[in-house]
Amino acid sequence: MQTSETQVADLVRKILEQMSIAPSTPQGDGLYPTVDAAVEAAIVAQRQLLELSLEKRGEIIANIRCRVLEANKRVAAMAVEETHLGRVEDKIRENILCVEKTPGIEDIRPVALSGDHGLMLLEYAPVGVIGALTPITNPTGTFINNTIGMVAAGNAVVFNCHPSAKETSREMIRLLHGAIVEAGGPAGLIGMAFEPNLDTANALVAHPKVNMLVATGGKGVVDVVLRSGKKAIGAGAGNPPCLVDETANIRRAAEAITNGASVNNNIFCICEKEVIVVQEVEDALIKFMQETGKVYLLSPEEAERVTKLVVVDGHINGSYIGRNVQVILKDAGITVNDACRLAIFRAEADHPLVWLEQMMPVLPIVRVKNVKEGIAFGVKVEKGNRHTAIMHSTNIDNLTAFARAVQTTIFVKNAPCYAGIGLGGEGHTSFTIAGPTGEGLTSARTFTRQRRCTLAESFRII
Amino acid sequence: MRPRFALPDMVAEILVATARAAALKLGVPMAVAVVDAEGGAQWFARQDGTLPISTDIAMNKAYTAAVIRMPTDELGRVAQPGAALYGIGNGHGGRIVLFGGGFPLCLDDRVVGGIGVSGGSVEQDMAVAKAALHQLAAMAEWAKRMPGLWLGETLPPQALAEVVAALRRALPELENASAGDAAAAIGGVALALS
Repeated sequence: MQTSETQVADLVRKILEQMSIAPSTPQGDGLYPTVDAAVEAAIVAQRQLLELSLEKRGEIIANIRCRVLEANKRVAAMAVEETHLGRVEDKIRENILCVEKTPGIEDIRPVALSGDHGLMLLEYAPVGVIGALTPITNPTGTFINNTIGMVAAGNAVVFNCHPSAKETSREMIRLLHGAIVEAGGPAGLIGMAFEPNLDTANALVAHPKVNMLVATGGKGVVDVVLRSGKKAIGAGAGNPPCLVDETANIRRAAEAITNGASVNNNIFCICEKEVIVVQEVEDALIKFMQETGKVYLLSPEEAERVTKLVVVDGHINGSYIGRNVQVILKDAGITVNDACRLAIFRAEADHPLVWLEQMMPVLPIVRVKNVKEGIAFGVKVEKGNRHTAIMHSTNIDNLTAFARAVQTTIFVKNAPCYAGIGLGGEGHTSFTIAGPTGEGLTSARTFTRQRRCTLAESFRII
Repeated sequence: MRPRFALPDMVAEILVATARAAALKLGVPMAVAVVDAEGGAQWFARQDGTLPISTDIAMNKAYTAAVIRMPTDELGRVAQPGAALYGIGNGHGGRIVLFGGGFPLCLDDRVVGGIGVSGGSVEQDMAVAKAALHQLAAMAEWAKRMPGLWLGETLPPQALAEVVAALRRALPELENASAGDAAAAIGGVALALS
């Protein structure tokens, strides 16, 4: 089926050429038969973008925000239906967050330095064409966030999504490309091969005319872009520990953990993946979590059944990733009501779900003797990802000690994990959190190269 | 593709042909009508031996489904005495039909016309009309799966006809293009270019 569609499209193009009906303004929808075609279009479009005013670029970004919000419910539902990951209501929040808190052109304001020797001006220049690899987990959020950031910085983007999210990703391309063109931006500024797969991903990574690679996903894809010989930004997996000490406001911690670990069924890489609690407040924390009405405490025997289901041969069973807790527990013979968002259980330190990135709403809670032991254990289970850690405490020494020890890109204090990406927390949002390569929460400025312009002797006016 | 209020006439023709083929299969002669989103007649066909009254009913079914934007059988249910739209059949010069066989034609959730079928039992009429609806869905799917064909403005009808004629000549050479697929492909191209 697929081959003949491409064949027919090519045939029609040939016929049109023969009839010399040259497309006067070939707008397209951002989807191309090959990676090569997408890159060529992106090169032309990026040059055209640079000829437009910065004000126009601002209008393009504003229109992207507007059109995405309009289509929000539709694409959120589409993503959940296609990937079976996450929850529609949370995807809607995710998209709103990306629309509202991804910085636009304000992020590339130049820096000026004046002194005895005149003026130095530092400008953030575009890198050109960026190849962006996006994950199965957050197709909508990553597309919105990357497009706004990369285009605001003056770049063109060729995406390659995870094949299991291709329908949603195509729709995101159509939506974002349509918004760009509608606001007067060049067609082809963002694009993707119509049939994204491993081959198109490799072609994109190896393409000589792609100037920068940005990979959002697991360790595998990050390793690939880092070996490419190009400037690469990588956002990899995490296994965020959440440490609760005896000084924490336990009720608030219980609520924050419940909301954070269950958002989108735990598929965000920043989500609380295990709780480490100082023993004297363990019972209170679990009791308060249950009192939220959204948490089911598994008995040791039930926990064992669930673990057998979701961990197979030391790996996470992919078919349960991102599913609703009801689906997972039902297969383990446990029925919970619809309000339930999260299953928790008391786990030993060596329990596999403590060490694996489960990405599902089943959260182990590990007891430690004191905060010192908790910090040491938290650092261990974070496994050197240096991604995200969360801590609930009112003791600033403890907070500082854990933050120093764990060395993560994001450290959230006394809030759900997602406060760390700007949802209910200060600061901009990003769905490409570049821990491995060190850029942190990426934004427009990340996708630039710095250029300095110096003028000697003049322009210091004080 | 762009937002539209009528199907390209070529697509309307394919829909009517699809319905005719389905009627032939049933062995019941039928009349088939396609109208635009405002109910204006666009394409009509009547097989030999069709019940005389079916000519009018087919056109009125298509008209009703297009202007009320719902299938005629559904409309019939809400137009019964005591129901919300009771009395709707009194206006419109008697053109409103309250039984099955008329369906709105939709692209991207937007009504772009209507199809009406008459000649058999209501169930047969509906089955034949649904065959045309499936064909339209297949064409829309084709149009979506052929990225980048949209030229930014509608291709003039004559040019479109030439493209399709050239395509028809070339299509038998395409692998795995069965007859239904070929019609879907041609309709998809017509949708993508107009």
